[in-house]
Amino acid sequence: MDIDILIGILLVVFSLGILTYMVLWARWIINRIASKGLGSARKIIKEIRNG
Amino acid sequence: MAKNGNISSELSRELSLFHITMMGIGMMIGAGVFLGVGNAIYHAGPGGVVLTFALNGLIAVFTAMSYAELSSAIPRAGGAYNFARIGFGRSTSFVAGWMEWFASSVAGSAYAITFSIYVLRYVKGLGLLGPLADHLYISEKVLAVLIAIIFIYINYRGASETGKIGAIITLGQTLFLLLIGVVGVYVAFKDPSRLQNFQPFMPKGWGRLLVTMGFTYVAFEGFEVIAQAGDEAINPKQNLPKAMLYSVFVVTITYVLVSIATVLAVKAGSSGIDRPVWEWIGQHRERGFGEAIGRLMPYANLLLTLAVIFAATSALNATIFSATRASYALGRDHMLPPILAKVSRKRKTPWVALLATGVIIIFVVVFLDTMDVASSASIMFLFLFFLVNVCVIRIRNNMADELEYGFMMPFFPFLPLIAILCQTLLAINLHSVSRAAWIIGPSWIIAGMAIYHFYSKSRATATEDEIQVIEDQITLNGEDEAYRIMVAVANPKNALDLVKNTYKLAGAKNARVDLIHMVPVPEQVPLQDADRYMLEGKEAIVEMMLYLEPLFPVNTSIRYCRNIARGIVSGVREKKIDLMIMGWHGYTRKREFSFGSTVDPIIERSPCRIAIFRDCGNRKFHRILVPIAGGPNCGFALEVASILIEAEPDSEVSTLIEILHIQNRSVAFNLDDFLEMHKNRLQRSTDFFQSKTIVADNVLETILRESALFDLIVIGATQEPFIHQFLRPSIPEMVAQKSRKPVVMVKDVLGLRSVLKRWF
Repeated sequence: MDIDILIGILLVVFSLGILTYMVLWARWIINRIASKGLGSARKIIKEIRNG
Repeated sequence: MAKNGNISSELSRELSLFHITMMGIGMMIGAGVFLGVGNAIYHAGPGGVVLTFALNGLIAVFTAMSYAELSSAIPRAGGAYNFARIGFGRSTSFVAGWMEWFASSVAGSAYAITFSIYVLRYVKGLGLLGPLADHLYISEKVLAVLIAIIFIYINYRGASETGKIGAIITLGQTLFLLLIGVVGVYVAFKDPSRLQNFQPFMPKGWGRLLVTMGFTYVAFEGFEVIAQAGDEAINPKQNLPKAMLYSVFVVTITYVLVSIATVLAVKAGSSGIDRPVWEWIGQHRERGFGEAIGRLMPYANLLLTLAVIFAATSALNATIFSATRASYALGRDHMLPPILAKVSRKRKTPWVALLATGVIIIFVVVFLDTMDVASSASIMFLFLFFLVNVCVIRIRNNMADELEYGFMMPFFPFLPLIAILCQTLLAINLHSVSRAAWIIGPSWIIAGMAIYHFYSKSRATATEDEIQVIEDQITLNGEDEAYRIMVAVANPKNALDLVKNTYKLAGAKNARVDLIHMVPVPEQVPLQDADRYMLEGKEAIVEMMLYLEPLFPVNTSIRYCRNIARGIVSGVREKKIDLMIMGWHGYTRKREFSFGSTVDPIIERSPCRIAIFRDCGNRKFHRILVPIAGGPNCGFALEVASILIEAEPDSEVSTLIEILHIQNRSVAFNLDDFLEMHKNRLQRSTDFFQSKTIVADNVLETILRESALFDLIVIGATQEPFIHQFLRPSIPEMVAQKSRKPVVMVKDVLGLRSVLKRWF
């Protein structure tokens, strides 16, 4: 396979993979903030770091 | 809600997550994909077009994260204009509104051109264009101007598109584009030879990718319209960020599928295809997408034309509405002539702002080439998103504790910084495809800055969020280059004790002193009416002035603000303070703060040295303990200790600074080298200092035990961010909280980090 095509496929998969992960993660944290009633920046950052 | 006798109104919250997501998608699928695919294939080849949209989606999601965070914390209509006003104040918000006006107007021009290109292409295909077919370029311009005028008139009539109807139209066009993508993939399965269309993958080299990403970026500009829906969205703290991220996800997947389908739609060697497929699509430039998709499936031309009509007109309507709103807001706030805020009595629409927006749209349609229009729109949105990414850093750094967030991005501030870097690269590379865009965009911004400087600055309406200086009294003119110490006066009862300690530091540094008292004013009270809150602070300031004035140049200021920490940090920046001195009562009510909701943000954000005094009173210190672990604040801790120690040669009391190092398994530190270096720097005799190293596992307990023989502990603050301390409190903060002895905690300036803090 042409090296350009290989790099291209990897880049597309990487971009869409990161995009999907970030959207799902954002959805998770938004729901978590809402369900736990967090609002303060420090509490949210703690929640993010605790994963 | 009544305010000042007037009845204020608010919009009803009717737009659900689905509606606002569709509004964002509708703005994005307006022109970028229809105009961009063919041009991207021309410039970057068959592989380049797919990569263009995939990578742009990735960059867009970083900016979407910034918009999402800001919109969840400030869910009000206004978008970038609002974020810039809160983050940076009036001048930057003017530039944001000015850019938003132009960016939306030029995007409107791009939608009008898209509409005319695809409609005329279809009519020509039916053979109904007659002699106009020979003057296609001019015909496209004329039709674009006509459609722009029609929608300007529709906006004048006040028949703006509602979110609910728009959502259904957008859903239809998105499904159609997804159908194209699915059919493209199906065709490839049925006829795998079409995959050869992707050879060569990047015929003009990888460098062209940045160019195509630049001029198609306009296809990802829907966040702004979602942010504008802050007043009308149901549950905006959750739904605005979700809508922004979902819309980027949906359009990126759609664009990638559509780009693949466009390349696969044409069979090599079929009738009329006399060259490689990518070259054939590329030669049609902005019409390339239509030409290719027309060969993909039955009725494709008709369906495509209908999709473009819906997409371009709904986006055109929304952009005219958005651009008009931006210029109306600038007029309303007196940043531009107030005539722009003039509303038609009959139609209740801002007709002057609409007329001005119409002039820009028509001018751009008539005088600019299609690529220049798309590139100009892209470049303006790139600048606007650049500003929003800067705002998210600024607002999180300066105001995070004052806002209630519904979403916060991870990896802060790296995501907005990556977005800023990528957007800068894309903007620079647009130069090679459209020089006009690089002349028009910056010229518009420079013109805006000139207008602000010469016109708006003196006329703009003051905003409520700004800090107001009530009393700024300069009693003596110290030299500008003098060392400047600021003392934050909060409690009149211990103000004098604080100033006596300041006296020692100011004497050693030959400094001038700024006394500042911040008056917190509740949100419900306008800053201008806040006199009643000032009395207590004024007493404290006067008392301190009486003490300091005969000795040092002293400036005093009393300021009204919404938040004390923000007000003090702003004072530090404004007056270029070298050392900030504060008192601390020794406990905090909120678990998430080490010193309290006021002191923590000041320590985190002030770009200067800081000294916090706890229980120091008006005492003399003869024996001072300086625990050190080798961090960057140790040297400053030793310096402060050597200033605060009271040397009394005739007294029997011996003076001593003991430098204590607790050696545990994880830390290795050469105490002798440290002492030698600082003795010379501080020009103190060796009699003053004594060093001691103790091997122990429990650092905190050892420091507290050792401190029993001393009058004062001076300790350097930890360099860990405060959020780390929230998770696991650091030793210096624990010492400050638990010690029964007076404590001074200090923090030094840290090179680049402090320079950045002055800006952000």
